[in-house]
Amino acid sequence: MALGQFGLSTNGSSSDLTVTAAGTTVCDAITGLAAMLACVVWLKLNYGSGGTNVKVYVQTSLDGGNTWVDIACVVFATATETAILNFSALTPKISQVNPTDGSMTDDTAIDGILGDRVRIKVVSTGTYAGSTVLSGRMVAR
Amino acid sequence: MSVADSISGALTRFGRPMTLRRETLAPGGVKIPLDVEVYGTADGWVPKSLVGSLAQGERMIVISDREIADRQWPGPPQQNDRMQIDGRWVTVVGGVESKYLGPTVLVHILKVTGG
Repeated sequence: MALGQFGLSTNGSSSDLTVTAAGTTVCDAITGLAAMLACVVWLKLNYGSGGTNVKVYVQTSLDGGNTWVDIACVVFATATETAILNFSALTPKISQVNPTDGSMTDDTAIDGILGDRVRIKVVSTGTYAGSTVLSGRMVAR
Repeated sequence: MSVADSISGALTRFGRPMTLRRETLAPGGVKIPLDVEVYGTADGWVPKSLVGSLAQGERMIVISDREIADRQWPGPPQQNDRMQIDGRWVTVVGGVESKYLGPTVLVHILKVTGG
């Protein structure tokens, strides 16, 4: 399996997500990460115009992609902004975590839960225009 | 060792590292790159007459699909993707031909220009 840099905002043949009408988009999952001990996630909204907010849920799966668990929720509004988060698979988590899928509290993250795949779910409200682009990258180690 | 492994190994051994880049245009003309390092061969520089005295080279590039698949880069390469070869940036033009063995992608053959 490969570690290194991956595109998190890949969707089909596009490497980044153009945000337009309100809606939910699930980007392609990065798989084959069973040996990953940590990952750094870089998210950037290049703001054009319009819109209300864009919530980016960083998700992992512990059951082979059947269900997905939020590990972060980053909220972008109407400005260009970058968010960087680091996750470790070695952080002990000995109290129960109640999983969510697309409903984690805004601008929060939970460490210590990294499955063998990662993806982002993007929920936008309002109508963005002006070629607003969301980019996501991940470096797996 | 599979045929795909053999071809990938040969391109790694006898080819050279190149960077394949897909760019997204963001507001303000900002280009957002997503890179993947691949191994391949480049040959066949063909001068092509343009307007006036300008000439532009076209090259045929053969790259392995292995690195693209490993990095889960949004392949296959396509027109207007860029490649860095020997420190120079070139642009993929025309159609990209992918060679398969059954369902397995082995290599991509690209025509590039510029640099």
